[in-house]
Amino acid sequence: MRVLTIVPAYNETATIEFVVNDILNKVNDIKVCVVDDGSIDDTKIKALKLGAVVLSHPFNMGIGAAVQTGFLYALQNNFDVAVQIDGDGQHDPAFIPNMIDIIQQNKSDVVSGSRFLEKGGYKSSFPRRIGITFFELVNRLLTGQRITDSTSGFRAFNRNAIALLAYNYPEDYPEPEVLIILKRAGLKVMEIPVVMRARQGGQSSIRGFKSFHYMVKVILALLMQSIKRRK
Amino acid sequence: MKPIQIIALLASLALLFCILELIRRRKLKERFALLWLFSAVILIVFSLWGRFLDVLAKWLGIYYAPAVLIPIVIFIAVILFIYFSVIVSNQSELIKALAQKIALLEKELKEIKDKSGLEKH
Repeated sequence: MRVLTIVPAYNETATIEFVVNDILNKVNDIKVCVVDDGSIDDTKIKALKLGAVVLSHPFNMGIGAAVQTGFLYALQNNFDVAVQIDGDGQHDPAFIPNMIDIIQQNKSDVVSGSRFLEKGGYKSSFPRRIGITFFELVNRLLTGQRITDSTSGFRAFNRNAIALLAYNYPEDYPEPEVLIILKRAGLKVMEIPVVMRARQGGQSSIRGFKSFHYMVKVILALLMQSIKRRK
Repeated sequence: MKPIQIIALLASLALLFCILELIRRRKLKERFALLWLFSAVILIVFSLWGRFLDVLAKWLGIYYAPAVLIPIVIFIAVILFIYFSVIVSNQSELIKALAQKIALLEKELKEIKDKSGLEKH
């Protein structure tokens, strides 16, 4: 099993070393590919020093394009599994071996880490919970299965999924949209519970009226994704 | 010919000339120019044959002939805008594919350089 971790990173100098080393320490026989999405800081240099494969976009194109570049690399270099993990350190690579196992045993084409699958792991405010429940409902309608954490950026993909997504990766709200693309291609998605670390600093960018606006935009994107023709 | 007809004709001819000149200087691709050439020709027809609008209005059942132009112009403008959005979307898709290819090629180039020892880091 050749496994590639795809780490999309945009100006992540502060965390990239930690993330790459964390993966290499906790998972055996794994290749780390940092997709530098046009960073203007030292992300690229740092990742190169750590011995990661670095794919560097000439300009910033968004996380969707970055993950897709990783898939293109995985496809070209014949990897069996691709694991997507955030560059900001919120995902714990300790869960990766379990994800790989599930794919190796052919139990699912895609494994997605969910914060909400087990109770008590994640605390959030009341309006946020309403939003989360609502999304769950929308996803259930569009994918026909229960997806508790559709915005998770911590996922493992098998060869079929890699081949599909290398040429069909969404740009606007890639994580939830991918689930629809997978579903429409008949690929199986399985969620496993993961614990995510609290964000190191700052606040979620999505709050107040913005969160309502965000929800409307995501739902529109999801609806459009479910009528799009495949490339 | 009324003065307005002469002005309209001259303006339409100027438009046609501009488009042809842009094509000649390779600033406008024929693919996009076709639409503009077509609209210039239509404008020339309108200015030469002033009764055309009245005939059209009568046929459509519109009392005030110039009002015919409003929906036509809006319709054409909307079609053009959608057409341009499609072109922009396509271009951004192509640019993304190019940038991704560059990222992959850069990595390959680095590998080759590292192997042949041409560049020491």
